[in-house]
Amino acid sequence: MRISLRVNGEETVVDDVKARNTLLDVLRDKLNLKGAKKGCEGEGCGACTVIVDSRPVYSCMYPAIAASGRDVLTVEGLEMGGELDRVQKEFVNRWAFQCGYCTPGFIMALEALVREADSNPSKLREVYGGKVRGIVEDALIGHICRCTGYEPIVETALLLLSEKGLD
Amino acid sequence: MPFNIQSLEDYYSPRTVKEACSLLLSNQDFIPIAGGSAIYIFSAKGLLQDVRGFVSLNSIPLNGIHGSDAYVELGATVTHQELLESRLQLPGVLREALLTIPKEVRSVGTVGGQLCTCFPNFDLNVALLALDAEVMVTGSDHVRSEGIEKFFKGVLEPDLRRGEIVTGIRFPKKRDLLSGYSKAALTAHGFSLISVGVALKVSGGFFEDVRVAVGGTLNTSPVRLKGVEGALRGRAVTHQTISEAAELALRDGALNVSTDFKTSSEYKRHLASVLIRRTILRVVGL
Ligand SMILES: Cc1cc2nc3c(=O)[nH]c(=O)nc-3n(C[C@H](O)[C@H](O)[C@H](O)COP(=O)(O)OP(=O)(O)OC[C@H]3O[C@@H](n4cnc5c(N)ncnc54)[C@H](O)[C@@H]3O)c2cc1C
Ligand code: FES
Ligand code: FES
Repeated sequence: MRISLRVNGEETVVDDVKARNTLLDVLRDKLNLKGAKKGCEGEGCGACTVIVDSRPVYSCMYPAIAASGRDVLTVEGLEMGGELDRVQKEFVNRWAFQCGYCTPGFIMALEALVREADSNPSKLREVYGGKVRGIVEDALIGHICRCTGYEPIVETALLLLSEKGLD
Repeated sequence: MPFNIQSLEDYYSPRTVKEACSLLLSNQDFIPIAGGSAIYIFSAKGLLQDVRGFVSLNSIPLNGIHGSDAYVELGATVTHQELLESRLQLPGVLREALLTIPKEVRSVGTVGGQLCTCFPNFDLNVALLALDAEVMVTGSDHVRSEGIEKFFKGVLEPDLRRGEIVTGIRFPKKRDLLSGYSKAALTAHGFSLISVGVALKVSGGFFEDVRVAVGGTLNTSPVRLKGVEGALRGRAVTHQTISEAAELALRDGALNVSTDFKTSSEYKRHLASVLIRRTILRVVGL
């Protein structure tokens, strides 16, 4: 099957997509975007996280065909003109990674959170009863870092939210 | 269920429920797909049944969320996240259960997909059981609705016949409902060992209309603990009533659980009893 979708802002056509293929298969094997990782294939490690239509998803269990016509953002699509974006820079500043395997997933989770905070801050407040730490934990809980560097990641998230008036 | 999709060839996007049902009826090795999250993980684990075609439900308008004075009605393809963000005033048990599911799964997993997987560890199922929901089912030549308790026939076994799909679910909207959800798992985003959903009313200091649903690593689908409910209904809202009722979860026969590599059956019963007590105390404000 042929699918067309937008990947990191570019209209992209992918041929020979099988119904059994996941979005992660397409990104890594057909589009050569190796940022999203296969960490566990279905247990919820989060390394495969990308954003589809503004929402974070595990691409290892997202049917490739279902991505047809949608807007997909991966870690490769964040930098602009050779510059890292806000979340990435903050990760570097704080050493919020060690081996780096989980990092694209964590970054995409925070990118999704920042977009949520921009588009609907009052909803975020309402759903989490105003508890910003709760917002952050919920955004990160579906991610595992085996190098156990969670604190700087949580701090990064708290900082990004406070910049959006959520603190 | 579960599936092996390695020999999968076809992917259909029907426009109507009727079309979906007839595709499913005339092709034995086709299954419906909504978010796909459960299907793809089961398949990645190399599990069982060969599937040759998917019938996608996402091209059918089944994603409405409606609330009237009497009912809340959810379309089968409403995602967990859409429900969480909806304008409805969600009962506590539903909101709290949804928040235990990883956000990346909430973005894609649907109400119908969760129900039809019929897994006792799935949290929304337990909350919907506590809310006494009704499941709406359509086949190629009939429409029916069924109480959720009956719909959960067994583990991975929803009460669906070939060619039938779930179109939605609804539950009564009750004023002054007190409800809540608690989950015990080994990791922050792990499947529940035991989870408890309660929904009840209190009138003049007495329990009314009590439902206690338990899910987790059970040998059955999620269950209502009628013994516990009976020990509360009509009784005064006190620490003692609640503790005594919660103890009934320890009895043989209340929960069908086994010892596995994570926990013993005694521990699961103990967890159920503790979570029932704590959740009820919390929702009634004691
Ligand atoms: C890593 C991970 C962690 C998870 N953690 C949790 C958790 O903590 N708590 C929790 O509750 N859940 C959890 N889940 C499960 C998740 O909630 C389910 O996978 C999801 O709800 C399934 O919905 P879906 O739309 O993706 O279903 P699909 O995968 O599309 O379908 C699942 C099954 O239902 C059938 N089906 C789907 N829709 C219909 C319909 N309308 N009519 C008839 N049959 C239908 C399909 O044929 C298939 O058999 C987790 C899942 C993953 C992958
Ligand atoms: S690879 Fe997708 S959740 Fe781990
Ligand atoms: S930095 Fe190594 S797994 Fe997270």
